[in-house]
Parts: sequence; C-alpha cells; structure tokens
Amino acid sequence: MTEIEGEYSDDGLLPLVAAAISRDPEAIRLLWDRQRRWVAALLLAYKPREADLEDLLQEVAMAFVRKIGELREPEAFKPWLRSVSINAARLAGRKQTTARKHSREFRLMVERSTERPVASDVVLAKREEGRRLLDLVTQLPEAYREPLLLRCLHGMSYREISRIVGLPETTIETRIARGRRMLRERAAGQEAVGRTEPAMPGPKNTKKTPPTMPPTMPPTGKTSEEVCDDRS
Amino acid sequence: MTGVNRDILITRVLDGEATPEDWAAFRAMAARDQAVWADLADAQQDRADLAAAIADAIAVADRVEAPVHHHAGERLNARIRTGVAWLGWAAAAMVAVVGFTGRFGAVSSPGTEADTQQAGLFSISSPEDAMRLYLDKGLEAGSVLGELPDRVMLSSTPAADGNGYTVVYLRQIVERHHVDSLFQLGEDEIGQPVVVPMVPKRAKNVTY
Repeated sequence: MTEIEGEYSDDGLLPLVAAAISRDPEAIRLLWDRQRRWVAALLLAYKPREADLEDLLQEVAMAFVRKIGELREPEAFKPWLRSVSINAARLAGRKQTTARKHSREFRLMVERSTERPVASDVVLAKREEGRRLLDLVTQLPEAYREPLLLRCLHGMSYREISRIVGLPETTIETRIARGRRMLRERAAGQEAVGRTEPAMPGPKNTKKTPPTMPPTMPPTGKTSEEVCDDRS
Repeated sequence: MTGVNRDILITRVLDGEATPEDWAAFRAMAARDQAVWADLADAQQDRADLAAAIADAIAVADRVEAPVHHHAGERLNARIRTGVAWLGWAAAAMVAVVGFTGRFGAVSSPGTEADTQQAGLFSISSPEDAMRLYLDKGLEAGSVLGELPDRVMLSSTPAADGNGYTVVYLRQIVERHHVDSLFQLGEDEIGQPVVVPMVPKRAKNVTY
C-alpha cells in the first residue's frame, strides 16, 4: 500500500482541479492519482456483482480525462467525479464484455498462482473473513454501502465523505453507525446458519470470542484509526 | 441510552472522532453494561477485516492511469477521420493494388551504402529487406508459414507533399511454434472461470 496521511483531504486540491480544468496534462494525471482509490471504493458500493472493477476504473478514468474540461466550479469536483463514477457503475451491467472479463480473470488467475506467497492459516482465515464482510456490505441498502466503504479508506473523515456524497456529516455518521450494526447482525446471522448446517460447504468459521480485557482507550480515541492503518 | 445512540457512540470511538464528552458517555455506558466492550471489540475487528478486504480489492486502482495521451491521440484521430473520410475508398484500392504487386515504394527505398548491414550472405539496406530476411529464415526453419496477401488498412491520410496518400496497415504473418500443452478458458459448475486442457481440431483441408 502506498497511502499517505491526509491523502483524501482537500488541501491544495482546488488549484490542482483548476489546472486540470484548463487541460494541463500533468495536473490531470496528478489529480486522478489522488482520487482513484476512493473512486475504486465507491465503485465497489455501486457496481453490479459481475462487473470487473478494473474495467470500470478504466472507464471512469477515460470519462474523467474527457470531461474534466467541462467542469465549471472546481469546488464541485468531488461530487462531479462521484456522479461520473456512479453512472459508469450503473451502465456496467449492460456493457459487460464476457471475453474481456475472462481474459482478465485468466491473467489474474496466473498472477495469483505465481505471485502470492504462501499465507498462514490465520492470515487466510482473516482474508476470508474480510471478503465475507465485503460481500455482505455490498448487499446492504445503497445508502449505507457508500459511507461505510469510504470510511474504511485510511484518512477519509466524516467531513470528507459528506463533501463527496453531498449530505450532512451527522447523516454520514448515522449511516455508518447503522450500516455497521446491520453488517454485524447479518454476519452473526450467517455464522448461526453455518453452525446449524455443518454439512454445507461455506467459509471458515472465524467466530470471534469476546475479549477478556477492554481495548486500550487513549484520551484522543485514535486507537481504532491505527487499526485501519496497520491493514492498509 | 437508545440503540442508535449506543451505535453512534461506538462508531465515534472506533473512528477516532469521539470527543472527551463522548468518551465520558462511553465509559458510563460500559460501566452499566459490560457487553458494550464486546460490541466495540466486534466492531473493531469487523472494521479491520473489512478495511483489509477493501484495500485488497481496490489495489487495482494503482494500475489505472489517467489516459491523457490516449485522449489527445483520440482527438487527433477524430480530426483525421473527419478530414479524409471521403478518401477512404481510394486509399483502400491503392493498398489492394500495392498488396497485389508486392511493391512498397515508401518503405523499400534503397539505403546508402553506409546504412547497409550484412547478415550472413544477405544485404539489409531497408526495413523491407529485413522483413524479407525474417520471412525467408523463418520459412527455412519452419517457424514461419507465410504471409497472408491481404493487408488490413487502419488509416489513410493525404501525403504531406500533396502527392498520393500515407496508409497505415497491418501485415499478417502466420507463425508456427511448438508448445508442451494447450489450455483454454472454461467454466466450472458454478460459472467460475477455470483453465482446462484443450484438444485442438485440425481442419481437414489445411496442410502445413
């Protein structure tokens, strides 16, 4: 991972957006590099299940380069890019090219078989649990998916999410809290089904055990932020 | 405290957005109900697992560059297409004639003596000579089966000096190589792509 602190903040963004609007190639490139991760997370929230994320990102990048010159207000950049991305995601289901998808999956299959080091059972179980949760998030109501996924990007605050989505911070906070509650309930429900149907194949049981000690609570409350840092 | 307030408090603590008042409220809530700690731990673990999964999933973003040059080329091509669309049939006819006669004046202009390189007994003074050498050597070694007579035209533009046209086209060369095994992409019973061995069918009327 190559994330940097404050990667998603708006510091210095407006002059860069203005330069990109005037079609400065270097500004366009730099601006896209700073946005593409949250765009990818956003696409995860909206893309059809079968659509390929990289294909979609290519389409958004293409639209971004083609249309950035039409943007009137630099301040409206993030909501504009969000709209471009959501439109691309919604069109994706209709434009899916099976051949491209297969060739990409074939390539990824080869990459996976050659590049990935052998992981321990614990790492594999954690990875499997993460994928299961991500799968569950994509089944949540649309309003909860987006802020929940964006919040998991390191450095994206409630304020920055609210600017992208165009909703008050308090609404974002409530949606994240409710989304997490729904996610936990669905995950617990899935685990319960897994326990009552032992003959069915399914993901590894990574049921959590309640902690015997409370987690550390520094006065600033930043511990959990660092959890995300470690993983990113 | 209502369920929603409890969730919001946990979320604030989890996301590092809790104020000192939030922390005080959280401690008071935890003092009344120890299960709050378990909820926080679960939420923390979910968040960490989810963050890792998202980081994995969006790693592809680092490979996707803004196609700045592609876009510039696209605009240029659009202008060229507009300008020379009416010339298309004439240029296509010219490529066909050139393909038939096998003469490519534009690419086989003789080089100077200084440009000429020796490759064994062959003299290479132009790209066309180099191509001829590659084809001959390939045919001799069996790795080249031949070149298809048709050229596929990609674009045509009037030449800069006003005489004739510049055409961009594909040449199609058929090669033969030995591989240990053949595979093709198929699907398993749940529709996931899998690589499966392939038994090729040879056309009856083709001999190599």
